[in-house]
Amino acid sequence: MASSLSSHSNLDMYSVRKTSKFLKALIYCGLVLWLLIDLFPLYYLFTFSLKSSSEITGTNVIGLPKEWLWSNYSRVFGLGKKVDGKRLFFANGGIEKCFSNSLLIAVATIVICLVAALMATYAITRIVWRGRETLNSILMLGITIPMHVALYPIYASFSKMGILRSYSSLIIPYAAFSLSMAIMVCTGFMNDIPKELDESACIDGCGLWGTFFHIIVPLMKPALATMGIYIFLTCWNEFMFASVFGDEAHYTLPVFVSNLKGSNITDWGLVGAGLLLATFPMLIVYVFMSRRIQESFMVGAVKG
Amino acid sequence: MKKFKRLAAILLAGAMVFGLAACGETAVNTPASTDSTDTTTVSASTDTASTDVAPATTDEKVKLTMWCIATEGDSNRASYEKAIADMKEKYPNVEFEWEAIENETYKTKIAAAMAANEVPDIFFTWSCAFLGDFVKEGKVYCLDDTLAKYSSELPESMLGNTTYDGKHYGVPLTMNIVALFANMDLLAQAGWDKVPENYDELMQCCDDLVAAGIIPFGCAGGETWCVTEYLEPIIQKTIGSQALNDIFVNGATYDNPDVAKAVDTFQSMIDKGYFDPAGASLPNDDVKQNFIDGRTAFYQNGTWNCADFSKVDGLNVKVTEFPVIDSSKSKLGQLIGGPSDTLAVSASSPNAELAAEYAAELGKLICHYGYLDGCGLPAWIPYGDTSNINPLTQAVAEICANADSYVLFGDTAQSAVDKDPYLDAVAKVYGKELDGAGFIAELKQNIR
Amino acid sequence: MYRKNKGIHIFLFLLPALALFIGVLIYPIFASVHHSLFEYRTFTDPGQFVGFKNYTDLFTPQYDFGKAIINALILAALSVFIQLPLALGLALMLGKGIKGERVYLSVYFMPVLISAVVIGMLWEKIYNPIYGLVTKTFEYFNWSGLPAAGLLGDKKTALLAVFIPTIWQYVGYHMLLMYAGVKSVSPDLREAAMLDGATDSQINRYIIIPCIKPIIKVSIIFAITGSLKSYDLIKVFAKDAYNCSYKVPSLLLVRYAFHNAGGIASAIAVLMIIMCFAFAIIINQMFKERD
Repeated sequence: MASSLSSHSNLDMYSVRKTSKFLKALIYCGLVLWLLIDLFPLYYLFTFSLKSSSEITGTNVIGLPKEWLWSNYSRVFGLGKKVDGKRLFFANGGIEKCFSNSLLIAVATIVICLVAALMATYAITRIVWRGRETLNSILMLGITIPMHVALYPIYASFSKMGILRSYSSLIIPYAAFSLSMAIMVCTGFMNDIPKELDESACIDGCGLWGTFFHIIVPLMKPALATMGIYIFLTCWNEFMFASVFGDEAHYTLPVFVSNLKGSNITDWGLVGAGLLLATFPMLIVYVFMSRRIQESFMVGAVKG
Repeated sequence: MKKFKRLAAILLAGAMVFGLAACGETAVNTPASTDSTDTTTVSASTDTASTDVAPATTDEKVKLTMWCIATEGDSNRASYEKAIADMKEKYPNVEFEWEAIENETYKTKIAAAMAANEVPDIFFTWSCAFLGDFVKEGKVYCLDDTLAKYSSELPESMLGNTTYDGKHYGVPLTMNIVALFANMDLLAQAGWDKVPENYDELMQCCDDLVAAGIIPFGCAGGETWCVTEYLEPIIQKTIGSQALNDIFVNGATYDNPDVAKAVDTFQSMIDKGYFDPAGASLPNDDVKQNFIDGRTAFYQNGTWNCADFSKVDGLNVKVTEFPVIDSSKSKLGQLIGGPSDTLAVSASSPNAELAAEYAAELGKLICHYGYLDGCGLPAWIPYGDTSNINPLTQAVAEICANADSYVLFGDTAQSAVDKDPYLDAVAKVYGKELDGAGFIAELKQNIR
Repeated sequence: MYRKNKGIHIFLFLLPALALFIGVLIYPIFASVHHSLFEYRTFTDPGQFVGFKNYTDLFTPQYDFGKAIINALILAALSVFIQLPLALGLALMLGKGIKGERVYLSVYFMPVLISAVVIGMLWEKIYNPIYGLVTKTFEYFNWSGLPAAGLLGDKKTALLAVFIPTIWQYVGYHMLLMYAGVKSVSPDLREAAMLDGATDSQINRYIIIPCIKPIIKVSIIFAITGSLKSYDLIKVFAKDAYNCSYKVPSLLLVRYAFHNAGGIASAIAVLMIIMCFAFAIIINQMFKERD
């Protein structure tokens, strides 16, 4: 490598700087272009959510709304709730209900998955026993197994167990399919914790469980936060299981969004507002936690 | 009131011609008691002929659940909501929970739930094969006793599609047919002040429309059932009702040169630019909107659209049936459609008897409100003031009054196993991957 | 004290994870293999033992699984050869230390957080052949060549139309992984090369890219298995999934699973697992040999 570089050493610094100025301009152009490509569909969605159907479908496709129809939003909140001003007796999953379902399912998945992953990682990395390496590599296969393959068999067994159409029918598969990634990340973090800590805890009379709860768990907090965010986002956006396993009482936001498409005339402004409302909470969180969220997505790939 | 009587008479007359489409004639295997619970409930219901067993004493709440497809965007939504509100007053002791699921998702979900015995007490279903598959497996509660009480309100002729082995399994809601909607303003621009009355006129009209820069037809390629709404009437008007019904219901082969000819007719219409090319990827929502917006002159689809078209101001629509292509085999009045939307009761329901009664009453109300809203023609004998029903629905009632025979929609009439290859082939026809000969060859291989 | 019962303790620590892993991941694999050898019209009725008939049937025109695999492979190839180089380019540009680096990074990554269902419905509008953005742009500039059925409706462009939103959504993800790699390259190394007079492209080519090779490998595996699994977006586009020009294995799997063809669906599931593992192994091997 060094030899291939040295052949260019006669280039003086001036020309390097000159080319990089031109290059810099090019780079900025490229970066800004992609920035616009990324933002434009969102701008389109935003304006689309404030227009009437007739503006969307012809008179004003790209521009700002001529008439800002904030009512599209209030109508999204009205979906599934009231008829002729009086509240009907059935709870017909409105957007808030789907939002809280998504939240509950994601949080429960995080808790279950992380507890299981932490305990397993502890057993694999801190306790010495035969077969732990093999077990670890078997568990790692889970990263490659596509979630779809479980759809049919799990549906059949859940229905036999009578837990179909409940929160747990989504939480269990979500937790299981995030497990391998969580164990992988936790292994990476746990290996960074010095073994001496365990040993001194052992001398102090802590058992395996004591060491786990008093030494390891507190030190694993950063890993848990990172992994928690990652699991949260994957559950939050999952569609296939949510649409097949859930019912109206357990629908999540993506299912709410897909249900906006009726089999008949659709009010596009309303659909746009629904799409944006379903996306907005996540984007707000992202604005405040962008660094942490990015880290959580990086760590899986980098530690692996 | 006078109008109501006339309409009711028309409807009854129309109802008389059923029989042909009845899928009940197909062999139904009585379940070999794979599931002990359902057989016992069925026999229990036949034993106790007395109907006042109603387990609902006033203070005891009974919970009933229902799944249907009346989502927010569905034109039937309002009639469901009104009917359910009425039912709440009628049955204060029933705690009723219902859920609406988007059409395509619903098909998947109900089939899966059925296989797993996870069905709600009452469920929406399509008649004929869709319900028939469940009946065959013994999953559906027999409604003979319940419906006997309603025989004066619900004509027997409306039950043909939900009768298997002589037993009734469904409460029909509305009935619909496929009809050709024409935007008369656009037709006027092409020099037509009336709806084309025969096939040659229709082709001439399409040519004139194309010449005037107007697209004749819109068809949603993204949703294959919409393609069948075009293809099936063309096949029917080429080979005749009897032959088509034999294919859909009675196990006749698709290997029929006239079917191939009909498919070629459909494709030649596409080739001549009669169909909006933009339709290939669009959902039906968009295609229907295009018709309302005056982008296409015709829209052939179910008559449940009448209500929506009537609501649009300044939209001058007429409704008619697709003209006869081969008059030696078919004639006017041969229609695609019939009572398809149905409520059924799960055999595994713990309160099956109450659910059956509830489903019948609810079905009657949904039918009533749906008819008033113009969502289709009623399967039940209409009551109350029907004078405000939109003119398009009334025109459809006229068409039905002159009906010769009905063949149920192909995706409803055929069993789930046959339906998939059929729809796949239909999609390929619209995508021009198969011609008439290819269509019958593929279906001969995959179905019979 | 605990040494005596170490085995029990290990077992207890592993129990929750093993229960989830075996119950939800391992059991379905065996169940799928088993189901795929039977007729399985419904969940409860296995029907007859048919051996490998479901597998051979899959490749008949009726199920047309071959086309689904080809489509998935095309999507995978597009991901590897278009999406990843684009992501790498962006990562290298950002990694040079540009003003406003964080802003670019955050915006590029943002689409990853949006549900694929939302993206599908949004792009469906963008592709609309009558009033969609694409159509309007072509009209505005008087360009020709846009199929009348729109990008999504025309057989020739449909796969591309599916791929574009995928790039839009996931370039940011791969970019982020690679950016992390680029940033982890020691600045000293870069400086030394600069002093030696290396140009930017030489630094990228001979120093940075070799350093982030492991990350590129991970990106390739993710991109390929992601393409094989892709469902949400395509499901939104495909609607009822009959003969669409972009059918993929997962779409057929879900369709047949609940259309009285559980045996066929299980066979698809088994083939999907095999393909995912095969690609992961092949790519690992390729990178090993190069090293």
